[in-house]
Amino acid sequence: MKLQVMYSFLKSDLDKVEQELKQIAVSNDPLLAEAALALIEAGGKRIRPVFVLLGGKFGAYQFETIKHVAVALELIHMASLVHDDVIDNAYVRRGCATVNARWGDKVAMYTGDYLFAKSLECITNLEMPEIHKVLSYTMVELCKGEIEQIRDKYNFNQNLRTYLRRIKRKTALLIASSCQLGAVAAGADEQTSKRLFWFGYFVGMSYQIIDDILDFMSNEEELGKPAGEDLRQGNITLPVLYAMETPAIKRKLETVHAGMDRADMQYMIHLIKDGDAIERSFELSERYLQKALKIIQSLPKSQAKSAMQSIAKYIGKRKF
Amino acid sequence: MYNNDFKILKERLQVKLQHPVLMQHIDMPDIDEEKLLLLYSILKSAKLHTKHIEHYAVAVMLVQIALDTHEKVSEMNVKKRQLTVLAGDYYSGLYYHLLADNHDISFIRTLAKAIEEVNEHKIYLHQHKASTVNEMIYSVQMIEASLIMKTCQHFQVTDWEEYAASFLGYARIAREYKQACNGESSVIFAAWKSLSGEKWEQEYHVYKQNAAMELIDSPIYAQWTAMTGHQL
Repeated sequence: MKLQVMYSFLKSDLDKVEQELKQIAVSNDPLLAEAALALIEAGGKRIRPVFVLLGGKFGAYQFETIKHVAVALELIHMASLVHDDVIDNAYVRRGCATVNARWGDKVAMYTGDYLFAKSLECITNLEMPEIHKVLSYTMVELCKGEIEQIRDKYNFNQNLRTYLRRIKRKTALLIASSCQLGAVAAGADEQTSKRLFWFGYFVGMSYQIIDDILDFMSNEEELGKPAGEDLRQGNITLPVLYAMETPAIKRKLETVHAGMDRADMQYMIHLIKDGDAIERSFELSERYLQKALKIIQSLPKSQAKSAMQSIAKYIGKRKF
Repeated sequence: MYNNDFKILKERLQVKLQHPVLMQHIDMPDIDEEKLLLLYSILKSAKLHTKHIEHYAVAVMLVQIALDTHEKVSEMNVKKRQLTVLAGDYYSGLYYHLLADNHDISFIRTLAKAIEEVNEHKIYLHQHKASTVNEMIYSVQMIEASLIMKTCQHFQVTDWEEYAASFLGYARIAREYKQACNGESSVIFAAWKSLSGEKWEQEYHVYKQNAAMELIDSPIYAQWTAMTGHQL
């Protein structure tokens, strides 16, 4: 089943979110408007708005209120992607030239800052202190996660705990907040919104682990970047950590560097795929998914709950 | 008293900016003391309580430092460049967190709108879109002063607005003139030269003289000087 089918009942509202995003991209500066619109039109999974709207279904769902959260979270995600492309010196994302590739780093920095500000302008349409506390905490943690990722690059002596803390901050918290804030904006009770937070958290952890597995298991066409690129960039992900438990493999992986040629990288990918590192990574991802499914079990039966369960299961099986 | 309050404020801001990884790998951000002093004076003239002055001044300066940090992203070593991008994002996050914790939702919005305006003008300046020198100077003023001008509007001390724009625009242009004279790159003077050709330097000196006169003649200057002892 395609991902979109699982939440087809949200289609009309998701289309409106898309329209809102395009309207928000409007700027007095034509270049800024073009850059922002290009980012929005490049698409993406829109997983955060989906989770916000689904979270909202657990309360008194009112699209006109919840849309501000959905739009703001997607804008924050986009702003961080624009800056990530500067960090990674990336020239292509989702098959399109990045903002930094088209207009240079300065324009990319300005565009990211502009989108971040737009997201805050949007979310401040809601005068709910709880929403701002959760979101601002998430944003600070997200930055800390990214800073830690840079700190830990090419550090082949890091442990599982460091990795899990990093992906929590980098990915899981924003998905967790998406689920929680949708519910908070819809006035759901605290217990429900907390459960949704943990659901999103576990799904986010699983999602990032799968992402890290796909770096080795998928191909350039599906990933939009060469296989093993995360490792080449020095990101020590779960499959690498597991593979490094064998000292001989660790010694070889420690030779990875940014300028490593394609053939040598293929060998490193082979080392990781050859043992049980991928299988064990899938197992850990699955454990997080099971935790997600368990926590949502106690929520009342609804279309949104079924959709969340289906999405969680889909994430475990996704190929790109 | 004034100096002491200002010193405490600066220290509080410095504490907020501390992050172990950032401190290890990138330079501590510069705090624009003139801007901070102006902001402090504006908030004081708004008759806010000392602890509120401190709170809002730190929030505004975090945004300013976030934006300034992103200006530094350039051809530096990879790790430093990457962390400079993230430092700016982190300081932005801190401003939101600080205000959100205090339920200052309307001020979050005020600053968000100012950030939008600043970045619109930055791109305008960067792309050399201004068709006259006055337009370009206006963009510089907006880049330097939007945060403070919006703060003036928020706290209804709008008589400081125009002065803040002129003063901060003037200060930035004077700084970049020195850079340009030292052979360093300057977005302002690159634009000025392309607009005015060989007359740019003569025009700059006329601008500098007129701007300084206008600032000194402003009643706000007298008020500010009396409050802080600050002089042009």
